[in-house]
Amino acid sequence: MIDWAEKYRPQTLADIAGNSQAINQMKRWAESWDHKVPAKKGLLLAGGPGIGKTSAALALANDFGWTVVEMNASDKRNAKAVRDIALRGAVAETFADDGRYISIRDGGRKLVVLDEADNLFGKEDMGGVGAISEVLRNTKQPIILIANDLYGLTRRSSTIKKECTIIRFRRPNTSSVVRVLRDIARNEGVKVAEEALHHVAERNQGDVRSAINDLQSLVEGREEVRIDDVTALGYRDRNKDIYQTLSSIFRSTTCKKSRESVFQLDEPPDYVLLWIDHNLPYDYRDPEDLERAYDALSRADVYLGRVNRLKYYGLWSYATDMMSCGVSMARKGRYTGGRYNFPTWLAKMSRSRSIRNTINSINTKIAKHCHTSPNIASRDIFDMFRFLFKSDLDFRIRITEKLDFSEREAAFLLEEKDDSSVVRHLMDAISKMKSHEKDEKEIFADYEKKDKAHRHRKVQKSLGEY
Amino acid sequence: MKEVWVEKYRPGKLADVAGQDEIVERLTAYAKTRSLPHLLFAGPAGTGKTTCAIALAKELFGEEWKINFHELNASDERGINVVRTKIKEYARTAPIGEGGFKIIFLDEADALTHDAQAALRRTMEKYTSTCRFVLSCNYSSKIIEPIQSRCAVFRFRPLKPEPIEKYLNKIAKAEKLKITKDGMASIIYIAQGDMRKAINSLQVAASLSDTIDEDALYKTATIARPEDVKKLLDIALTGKFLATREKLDELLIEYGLSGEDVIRQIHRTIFDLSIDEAYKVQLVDRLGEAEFRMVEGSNDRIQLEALLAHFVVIGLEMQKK
Repeated sequence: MIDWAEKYRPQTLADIAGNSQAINQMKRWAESWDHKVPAKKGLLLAGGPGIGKTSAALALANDFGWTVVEMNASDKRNAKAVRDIALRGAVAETFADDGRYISIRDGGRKLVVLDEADNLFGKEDMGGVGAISEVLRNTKQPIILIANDLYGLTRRSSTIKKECTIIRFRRPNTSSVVRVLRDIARNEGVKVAEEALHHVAERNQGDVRSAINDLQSLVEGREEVRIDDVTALGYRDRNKDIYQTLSSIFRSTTCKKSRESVFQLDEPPDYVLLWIDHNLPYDYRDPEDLERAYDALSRADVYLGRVNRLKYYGLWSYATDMMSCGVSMARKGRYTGGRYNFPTWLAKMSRSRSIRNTINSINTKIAKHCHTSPNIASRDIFDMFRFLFKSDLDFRIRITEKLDFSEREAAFLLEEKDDSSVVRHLMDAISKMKSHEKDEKEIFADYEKKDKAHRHRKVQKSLGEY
Repeated sequence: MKEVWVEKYRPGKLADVAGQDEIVERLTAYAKTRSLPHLLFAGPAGTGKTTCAIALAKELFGEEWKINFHELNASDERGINVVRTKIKEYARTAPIGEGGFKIIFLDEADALTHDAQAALRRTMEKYTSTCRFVLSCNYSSKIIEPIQSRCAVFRFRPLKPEPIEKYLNKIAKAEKLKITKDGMASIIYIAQGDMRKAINSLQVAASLSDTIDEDALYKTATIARPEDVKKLLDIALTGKFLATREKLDELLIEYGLSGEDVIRQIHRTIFDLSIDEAYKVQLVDRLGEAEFRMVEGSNDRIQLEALLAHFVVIGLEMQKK
């Protein structure tokens, strides 16, 4: 079965649903490559899933007659491969992926598309953000980065923000999604009721790809789709169900009603707990109610911990009771409202995990060096270590070499971005020391000068902000 | 200042170990006769346990000390696995040189569970012809009886001011620093008998100025993180839960603190808060409960939120008074 989302991927920018402003911006950028390499060599397309970012990048290449080199998180996207393509392609001519010979003088450009760029930094094989930033600075070929989480990307790297034009994609509205679905249905020769199309579009809230997927599975084995077929499928809105549960818990006055609302929900208790936790303080505005409710959640969490350790799922129901009835009965005040939100902690947690990994690896290295455990290193040594690392250049260089700190680790210790110039200069100094390229004194003096310049710029910048 | 000073100035000879004269005397005797029982070093941090173990190995094995001295940390991989695999692997091979045995130094042995300690006991017996164990721990009472009875137990006490002062002066001379009288008094106060703390404070102060006085040391005290935890408590005590939670998330995410870190730092901070003394007792009790539930539970953040919700209520109660 051919995936319709692939089959009907727009071939030209004109066919992209919605986002006309973004599309125009992209066109202007592509035109700026006509004669020379423009100042902003990269484009960063940001926005939620399935709303046409990748399609737009590919369609752009098609419209301008560029060859595409596409890489996404599932490729082994090591920095070298990216660099090879972006920089080597610059040397006048190159071969396209299909073996065609392209000369740059003929305008045959290669567009590098880095999909899922927000996953870029977690990858070991990347060789660091610095490598990508370097490519962005030096590339002679257009590069498009695509990301769901713009903040997650730019907080790690200031270069990316600086070297790229950032274009935000928004969810196309229901009517433009309906248009896309209608065209596909017509092309496939299936009759789909207009109401059904609307229902599918509405449900997917601007995610064109998943709307097309839904349409395909609806049509499967049918020649005609009526609105009843859609509703009979029993589409379930996961969030909506959870909202009802939350509202029951935060409003009901009986234990029975409260716990039933969780049992009806087909979700594991630890997931429900996160939803309650996130929304509770927005709803229970009396601190004493809140304290009692949190005590119940805390008890629920203890049961969940015991389940995990003992693998005894019989305790799940007590966890459920505490998070439902416990929270309901904690309430003495009367509250109104009921706008609930997705628990943002889930997204934050993955971010904190990567930071924690860095901290752990730093402490492990310090511990080994100081004949102690990572625990002790974290408790008794880390703060002073970081202080010296920040304030003393000699120490910084020596210890980075000795403990073999990575770019990421050095950046964390300095509270700088991974690809900031201080970190880059430090890494340069280390590699020079390792290769004995220069006299040590010279390397130190050189680094000191660069660090001073950096601090000077930083001071000026912060003065400028006033 | 190219090194971490605790490493740079770690004594290489037993005779140079500060403030543990009796212990040093007995260990030196072992080195001379080249006969060594299993040893158990018990005592608080920074009193010379690791230093003594390394110095002992150097005196026993000379140049070959690194091959015959194996350092393990029991808290790295909690539980029985360290004992079963790493120790056995190392203990099995024959010693190199004329020593006749090698040393396994197991740091933080009190982190091992009772099961792991029981397994360790059997291993100690099995490889006693090739290996000596030096176990190090904070509390000897956390080590099971059968192990204690197989070891010569050494109790390391917190260092007295004189040996700390003497050692710091040695470092100061080598680093061309001047420690003033009040500077020295402050270091000794901060260190509380912990040499590592003393040397760390000295190094940080030295990075600020060549003259180590009270002022320089006061500055070093502010480099630690508790500032942020104090802010967290201050916000909680104003009675705003959502703002408190935001600050908490910052600590957990941007600073990467673990739930345990936060609890520990709150504990350190509570007694310095300017609140009624009776409340401090109440808060500390709730803190202990939070840590207990954290150990039992699965989500550190929920336990911390529950704790902070309590702090919020206390804060409002105080405002009413």
